[in-house]
Amino acid sequence: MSEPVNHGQGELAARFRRALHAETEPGPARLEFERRRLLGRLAAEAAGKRFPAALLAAGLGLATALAAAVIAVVVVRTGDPPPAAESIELSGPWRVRPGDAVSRGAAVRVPRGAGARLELADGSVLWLGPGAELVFLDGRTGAVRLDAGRLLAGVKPRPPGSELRVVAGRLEVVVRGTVFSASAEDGRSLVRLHDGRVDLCDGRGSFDLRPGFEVELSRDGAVSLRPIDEAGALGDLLIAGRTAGTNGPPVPRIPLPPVIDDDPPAPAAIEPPSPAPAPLRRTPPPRAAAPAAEPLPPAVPDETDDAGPAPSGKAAEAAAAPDDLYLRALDQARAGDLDGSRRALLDYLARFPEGRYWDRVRDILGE
Amino acid sequence: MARTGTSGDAVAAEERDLVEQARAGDREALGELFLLHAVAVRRLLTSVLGPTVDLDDLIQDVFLQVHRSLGGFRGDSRFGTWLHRVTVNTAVSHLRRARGRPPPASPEAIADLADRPGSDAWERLTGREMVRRLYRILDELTPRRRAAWTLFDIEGHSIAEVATILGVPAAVAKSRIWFARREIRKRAAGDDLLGPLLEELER
Repeated sequence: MSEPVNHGQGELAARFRRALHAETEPGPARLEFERRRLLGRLAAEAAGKRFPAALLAAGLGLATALAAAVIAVVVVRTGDPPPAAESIELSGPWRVRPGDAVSRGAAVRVPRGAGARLELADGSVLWLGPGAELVFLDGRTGAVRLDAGRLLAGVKPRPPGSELRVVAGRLEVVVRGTVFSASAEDGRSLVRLHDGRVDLCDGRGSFDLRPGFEVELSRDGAVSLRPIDEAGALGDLLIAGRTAGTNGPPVPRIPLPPVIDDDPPAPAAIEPPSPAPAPLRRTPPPRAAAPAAEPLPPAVPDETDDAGPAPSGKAAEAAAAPDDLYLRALDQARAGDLDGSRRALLDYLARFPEGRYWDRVRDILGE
Repeated sequence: MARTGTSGDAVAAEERDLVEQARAGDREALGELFLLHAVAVRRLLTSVLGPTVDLDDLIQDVFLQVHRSLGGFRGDSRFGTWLHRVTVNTAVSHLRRARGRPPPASPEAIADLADRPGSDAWERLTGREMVRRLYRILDELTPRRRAAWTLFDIEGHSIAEVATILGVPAAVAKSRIWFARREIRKRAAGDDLLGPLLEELER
């Protein structure tokens, strides 16, 4: 790694850095312990004990095979007498077959890397993402609790009094007929509404959520409302895509917004910020004609590049390649090719860990 | 990062060998790369994230990702630069997942210490207070701007280096830093501890 240049020096800055890195230096024994822990995790991955590491290491062929192997359908017969509570792990079609009943108190757990689809008696469908844990609170009205992972729901219109209730963490979603997703992770709850209308309750009050928006309830109780971005919409589509098949219900129509770049045009110089701030209108990342094999620019550019325009030639091509792959995944999803989109994203994860959309891709795949 | 008694060229050659062996699937070689770079990775994660209890796990995540992706690394760039990018991406991903987490508990109030400036304890505590206040502001920034700003103003990298690490054009790196600085200044307005610190960091 390159050494820092002479920048940001001073007594206060030095004191700040000392405080920041006061515990940065682990001793040799600690390093050795962590090295052995790393080797243990690598060995576990190599043995296929963990996902998605094993998937990434094995490449796309395994991904495709696994995706095809996890199609599972469970039919919930509303009105059936509730049997004893049960716990089902949807690890593949061998353990849960179409027609199996799931009723009040039953828990469904989806392994990491897998997906599941649950069809309710009224034709509503719940798609569960990897790692999802769902508990049926009341089989008669369809009240479920999502304890972990992500869920996409396509709910048929229901009359008042028969709404589907989905509890995701501390958010409760009351559904009369709509397409929405919910996730619960690490004390955080998130609901995205793609179509229709839902009422949201967080224990302090309730409100309507408009289509195209998402609500997040953080662990400390803060509520955020924002438009759904392309990554969130694609992630929801791919939840359904994991168990999509010719005999299954159609994947809901979820619009994919254009890619929003966090980076508005740069001002001419960092200091002083004399020009008016650049407009906040964002621009999509550039497309490349063909993906480049080398994801990194060849070397650290010279300092004199600071005031220059964007890099050109090989560096620009390398920077654009992962962008192009991400855009291709979006295009494939828009065209209905969810398998292809998922493969492109897995390809991105494996090939471009330094790509600008890497963290988004990981979130989309829910891995 | 260099080992005692070993020249820089020898270290570079050893690193190249280790990278080649790790690419070939040698996990012990990756373990050696871990020993060479773990401290630098920890330092960079600390700069971007601030003090966090998750550091050891995040460092492991960085090297697991290195293991998965080394096949795509052809050596046209330095391994250290590539590792920097993987590290920053891991940090940014962590920030996205940690949205909404409460800030760390406040340490001792700085006002109580104002009557004995200059002492070692006072300097340590003001240093910790600066860290706490600044990272509370950084928690409000987008992860990308936060990463760019910390690389430039805390780690002291040049614009070109920040751009290379983030994998973006220099103009984009500059934009992120510029907007981060503006947001930080706005949020730190009137803070008599952070004001002088920011002046020094951005100088």
